[in-house]
Amino acid sequence: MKTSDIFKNGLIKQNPIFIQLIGMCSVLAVSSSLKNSVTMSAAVIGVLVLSNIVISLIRKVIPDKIRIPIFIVVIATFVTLVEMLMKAFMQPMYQALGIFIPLIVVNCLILARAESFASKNGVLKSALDGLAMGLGYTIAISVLGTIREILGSGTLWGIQLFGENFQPAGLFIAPPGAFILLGILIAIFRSVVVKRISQE
Amino acid sequence: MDIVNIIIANVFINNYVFSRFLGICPFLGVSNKMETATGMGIAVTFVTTLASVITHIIQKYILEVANIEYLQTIVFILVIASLVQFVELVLKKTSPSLYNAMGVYLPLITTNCIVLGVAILNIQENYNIIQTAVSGFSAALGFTLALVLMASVREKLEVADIHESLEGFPLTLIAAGLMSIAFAGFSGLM
Amino acid sequence: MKETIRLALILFLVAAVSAGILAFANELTAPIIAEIEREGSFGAIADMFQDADDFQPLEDEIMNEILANNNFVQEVTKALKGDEVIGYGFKVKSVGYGGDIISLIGINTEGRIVGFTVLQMSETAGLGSRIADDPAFAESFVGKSATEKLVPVASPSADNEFLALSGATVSTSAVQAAVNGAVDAFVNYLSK
Repeated sequence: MKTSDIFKNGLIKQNPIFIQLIGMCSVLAVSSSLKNSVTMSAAVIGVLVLSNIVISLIRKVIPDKIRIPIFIVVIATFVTLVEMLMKAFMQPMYQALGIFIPLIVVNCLILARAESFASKNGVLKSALDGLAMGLGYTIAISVLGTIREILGSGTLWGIQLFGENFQPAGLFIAPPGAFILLGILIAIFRSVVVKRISQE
Repeated sequence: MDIVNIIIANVFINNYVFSRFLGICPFLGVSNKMETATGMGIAVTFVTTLASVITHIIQKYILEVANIEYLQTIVFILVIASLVQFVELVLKKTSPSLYNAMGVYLPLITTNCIVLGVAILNIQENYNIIQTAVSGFSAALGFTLALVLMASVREKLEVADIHESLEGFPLTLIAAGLMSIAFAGFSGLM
Repeated sequence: MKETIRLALILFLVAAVSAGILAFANELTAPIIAEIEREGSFGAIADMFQDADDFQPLEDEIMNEILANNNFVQEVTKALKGDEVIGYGFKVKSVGYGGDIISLIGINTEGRIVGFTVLQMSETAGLGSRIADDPAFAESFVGKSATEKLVPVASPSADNEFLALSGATVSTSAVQAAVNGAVDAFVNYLSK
């Protein structure tokens, strides 16, 4: 598989959120602002790339029967590391993301990449796959975060966009807005982007 | 917080699916048929309650005693994974009928974030063991309620005449959003 | 059987390596995290009592009595000017819409609230989060009497009223419970 294919897969063809619909919990929960979305993405990319690398490195020595528990230990180790670093150096952000940082462990996206890609491919390719899938996640959550923040609080990255009199639609930062907007985004992504790719 | 409050909060006000966004993957994955929804619901309720109690005991008597709370995430997920395997094994041997009802859903439960999520939240809330059991049980009950409600809607949505790009998950998400608005109405309860 | 033992050993080895790495990382980050948390709560108290030159934890004896009888107060810190106590900072915990809300309430020895600030919360951004982000909310507590229970109203004026945030009833009442918890502890154990 060529590098460009890996990226095309992660970002578009197999976009984890828009196409595969995995790892959705954190996407819905932390996308209430762009800043939260980007920080969450950084954490997910970090865990995804590092666990893919380690799993690819040890893929030949781990017995097949206990590979899943070992994957889980590797992933959980990196998640805990990210958690510690955020607690120490990005305290406010850590509090904003709350329980969704430890819950990266059960983000199906990461275990799925370990099982279906990293355990079968070389280190470099696995790292790139982790990066590509992580970026696919980033795109989805950032688009959602941008729309929700603009409509729901009238700001972007915390900066006020409209005048004093702007009444933001609180629905969009509340849970219902997350579900509805993500549904619409997936429909748009499928009908526009995927159609164009398949025509090529 | 007393027991009744925990139940009302977990099932309605802070429903784990509609307001806390936990357990979304299985919520979308198995809510297309009423039968599978109930099966998944029962399996999750069983595992979550058990996992809540066991993780509570491990936190209080091992992690806190040995001062290694930082291993919480890793220990909890391993406990949940082995618990799921264990339950599967026991059911297969002792009750084939129950195994038939929820067996296929069990492997999916390890990565259901409700189980780990509730376990961690229980510790954060500083619940005692009874509150922990109730909280785990009611969180899963709320999940089951969401799943069953969604399944009953989706069985009808399947015959709806809509644009092809909306078919399946997009429409399900929008329906979930509308349901979430309804659940937001419960927030005045307490 | 041999196979099972081999598998268990491998799994144990992997877990041991990971625990080792985390223990090392914990060594490095734990002091920084503890420092940040201390600074966080101390810095906030210092802002409320500008005159104070020292802060000390409340004596164990009274503290234990408060802890036993009050569901909200977690920590009390004395603000000192020289040897004289000029007020108390109450670290209180209550449950809001998105989980625990930890806030700090300052009450001076004259029985007036001198400040309110949220130390930790995960309320809905733009709605409940205004308990921490909206300066008008925190200011609506300042100067209010700490001898009676406070109630939220849309436009506070009386001595026992603070700003109710529209659309954030759960967060507002969580703060109300927390502040009244601090008032309760102050009235029953600390005001002379």
